[in-house]
Amino acid sequence: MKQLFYKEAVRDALREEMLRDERVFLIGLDIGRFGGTFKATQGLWEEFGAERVRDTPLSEAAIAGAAVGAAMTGLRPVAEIMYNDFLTIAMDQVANQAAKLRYMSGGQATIPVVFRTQEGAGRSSAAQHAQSLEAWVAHIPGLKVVLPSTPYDAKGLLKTAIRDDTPVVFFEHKLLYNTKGEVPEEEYLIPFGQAKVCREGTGVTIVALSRMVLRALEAAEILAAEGVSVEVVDPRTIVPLDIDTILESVKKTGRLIVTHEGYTRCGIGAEIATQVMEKGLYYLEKPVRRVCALNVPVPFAPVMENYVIPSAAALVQAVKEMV
Amino acid sequence: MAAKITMPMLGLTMTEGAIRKWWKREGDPVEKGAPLFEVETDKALVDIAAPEDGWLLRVLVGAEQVVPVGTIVGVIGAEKEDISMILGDSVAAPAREASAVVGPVAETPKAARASGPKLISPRARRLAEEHHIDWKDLQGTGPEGQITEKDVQLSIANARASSPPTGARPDTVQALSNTRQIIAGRLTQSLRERAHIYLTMAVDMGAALDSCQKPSASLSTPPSGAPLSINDLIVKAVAICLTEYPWVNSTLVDKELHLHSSVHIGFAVAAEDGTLVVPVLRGVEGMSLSELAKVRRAIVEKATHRRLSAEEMAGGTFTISNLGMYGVEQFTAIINPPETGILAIGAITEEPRVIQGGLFVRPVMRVTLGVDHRVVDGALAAQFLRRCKTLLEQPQLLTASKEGK
Amino acid sequence: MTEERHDYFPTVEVRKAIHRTMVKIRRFEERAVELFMAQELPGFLHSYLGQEAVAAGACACLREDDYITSTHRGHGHIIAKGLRLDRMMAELFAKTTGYCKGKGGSMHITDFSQGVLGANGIVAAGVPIATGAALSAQMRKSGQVVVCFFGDGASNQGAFYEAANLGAVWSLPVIYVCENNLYAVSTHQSHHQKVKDISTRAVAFGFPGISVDGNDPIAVYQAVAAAVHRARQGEGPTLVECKTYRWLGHYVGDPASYRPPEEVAEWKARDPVPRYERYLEEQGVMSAVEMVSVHEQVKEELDAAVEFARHSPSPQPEDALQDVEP
Repeated sequence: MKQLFYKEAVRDALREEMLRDERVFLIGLDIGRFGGTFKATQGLWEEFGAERVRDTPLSEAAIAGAAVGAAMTGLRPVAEIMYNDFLTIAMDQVANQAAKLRYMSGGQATIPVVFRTQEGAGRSSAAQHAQSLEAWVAHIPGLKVVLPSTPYDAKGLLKTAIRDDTPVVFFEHKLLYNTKGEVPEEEYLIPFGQAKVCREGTGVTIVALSRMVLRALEAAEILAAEGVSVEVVDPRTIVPLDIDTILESVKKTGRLIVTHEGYTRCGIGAEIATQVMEKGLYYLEKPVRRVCALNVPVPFAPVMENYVIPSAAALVQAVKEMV
Repeated sequence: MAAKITMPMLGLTMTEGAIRKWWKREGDPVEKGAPLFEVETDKALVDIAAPEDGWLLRVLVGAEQVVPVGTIVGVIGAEKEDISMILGDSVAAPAREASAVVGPVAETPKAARASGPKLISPRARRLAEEHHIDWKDLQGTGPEGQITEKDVQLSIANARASSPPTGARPDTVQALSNTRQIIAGRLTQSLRERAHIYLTMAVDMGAALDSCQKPSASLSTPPSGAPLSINDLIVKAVAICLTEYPWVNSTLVDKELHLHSSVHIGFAVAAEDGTLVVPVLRGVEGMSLSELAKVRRAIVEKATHRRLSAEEMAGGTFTISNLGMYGVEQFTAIINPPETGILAIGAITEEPRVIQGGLFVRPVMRVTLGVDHRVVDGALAAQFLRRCKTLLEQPQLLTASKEGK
Repeated sequence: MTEERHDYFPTVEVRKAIHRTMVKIRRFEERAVELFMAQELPGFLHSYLGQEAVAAGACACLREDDYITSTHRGHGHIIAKGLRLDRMMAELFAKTTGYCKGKGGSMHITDFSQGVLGANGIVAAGVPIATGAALSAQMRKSGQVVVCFFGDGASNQGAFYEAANLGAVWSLPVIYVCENNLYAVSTHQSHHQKVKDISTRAVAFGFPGISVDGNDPIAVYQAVAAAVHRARQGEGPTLVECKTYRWLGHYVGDPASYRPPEEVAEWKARDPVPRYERYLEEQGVMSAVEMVSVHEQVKEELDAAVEFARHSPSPQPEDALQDVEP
């Protein structure tokens, strides 16, 4: 075991897969000599050269589209969209091309592309650089959607994503890059569709995404001291979603809070709450509660941003109102 | 003239009675002799008649209430008669709730929601349904009186606490009726006092069955119109045996054995509501078979509808219990205090029997004699039983000595 | 005839092959329109009638393992790339024997095994994809090139600029073939862009652009062949603008009243098929009899294709759940 930063875990996954399979290459903005805006590709250009670590012009549609075209013709590109807020520019290639070309051609095309992107708030990045847009892509059939919350998860899931023959959208969180965690020395993969119970509890279930997993664990610690037992579940992949683990937890506790930095309205929380209602209504003691970003653009001022984006305190409060 | 209606003493041992139903309401006119209310004693349901004409001016003890004998339960008088004097000096013993199905033991529900259906969480509802609790009776402690999981759990725990332990977790919780409580007490008393031993014999009922088909031919009884049943033959056979073995027809009181002069056979019957009642056939030793058949059938009919009088259920010296109609092959019964013996009758089934070296199919009935070993030893019991078997296998012997009376 | 370039002039075989291709496209599209109007085909049709010379000329330059990306108006491209009429027809009929098992339809007929990287219903979306395929060919050093078909309308899409720029900066082996048929749906070119020759936009990216008579298959062939040569040499992209005209509206059933009838008549008078046939006869490449024979063979093939399609099985509803992922 070694201690790695989340960004190092990402880099290690990329590096290992590039060593393992020469068809894997990287394409994106400033990922080469600069090492990536968040340093997730640091050192890779030096090791693999400009041929396999390609800096592009500022053209998300071309980045995404070129990745799709290359993936269709025998390569395994990992395209980086620097901020998930820029997915908008690449969206046609992600949602209409990558997600659908296999289906529309009756199964002829295989498109093993990974779109790595980054999301989240907490640094006063303001409205166009602080969103969490997994709900957009989770909505589109044909895409897999992954949100790791720890270095261990990031590495194992990214390797799986690269080896997967379907298009994957991989959301890293800007404030997780510099978090540290234990990562095995030996190779490992984490399969999609397997949620993780990060903390066991009996009173309330919190299902959390990405950085909210850390806040949920914080809240659980605080609540434990007050005698409330909280179970924290991290789905890790939204598509495919491990609803069974979530239902098992709700069966035990009867109370569910879903939390993410995406906006409340039509966010992933809505999907999870509905699935729990559909499959586990009779486990519920209280209505499902969503503790997610308020339905406003993310503000600049820290005091406002902290109000809009859910906090550990907000989770503690929500749990208390539920027991 | 106003009259008090009291809880009657319907049997020498009765101390309290439960009013199951009032047939009239306050203000109704009543006729002397017409049923006024129904009382359940430890043995039967009995209708109590109005003692005179008039109006039911007051009901003081309602249905499902248990009160001591002598309690004033109502007042009859002339229409609109002033009964305050009577009420003033009435002694009303505190009535107990006659419980049937136990609901929540929590306090009487306060008004929670003014209107609309009761709220319950899905989880609580599932729990209530699993435990067969009618959640609509529960009081909820959640918001707007919503029934919570905790409310249901409390109700389950209370239900368990107030019902007799059954070993395994009961699905339904019911308090025992008075009758059952009495029966329960008697049975355990019997087991405590008596040293029960059991002997079983297989009886070939071929001849007995023939006799029932053609009584006049085989039993030399005059055709009486009343059909004979196996049970009649059994009762008669047992009665004869009891006269021949008087120690089985006895009661042990401390260190004294009372040998009864007459044979009064109690015949266990399942009433239509499932309760066990035991009408007593008195003086069977003096009855002919046809008399016995008539009397037995009549009293069993009454027993089935729980219309026996106390006398009809008292004074037995021996009991017979027959579960053959249910297909039970043999069983052991508990002696009915203060008796000394009991005979348990099983079903008649075709069986292969070896008779003098040959294999035959015969209708066989197993009877099990239970006796109090403090009084009757095994050898004596065996002789009694063998005599019984002989009489049943040769039913003409049942009428041989006595013919009518 | 255009001024000859002596290099890249097609051989006799190629010229004959171009003829057969144009006849196939012409007859297929005519028949498709008939079937559609008779309501045998669900959905929409975007007819290639009138533009046959572009696809035939451009694809005649390609190796079998070269790629193309096609568009919503793509039947001509894929026939020219060598796809079978019967499986194309079956796809139009929404049968399981169609190239896309009935899941794509007219706008998306494709055969990846023949190098057709999809026919796209999103205007200009094929341009980044084609560029990516060219990147792949370059990285794999396969020598393959990609011909990317798109229209005058697509030349205004952001995706076109991003992709062409990327193709230029990495010198990717891609040929951007713009079929300028003067209309983006109902909007005449003069209303949707300032330039008349779209090929001039190539300057902005830093690679050559050329405009040719899109109704002259040989002119198209020469321009595309030259661009293919450049690409295989690693010299990067070329923009080849082919000026042409669609006979029908944007979709079959569109009366196209936004087009002046004289304009339509003028272009129809320059019908590329008889025009090319006259040229072939004059040049002694093919006799009239030979050409008639080609027409007859094509008709036979087409009749068989329609029968095949009509008698093929329809998909089961649950088939919709297949082919999302491998």
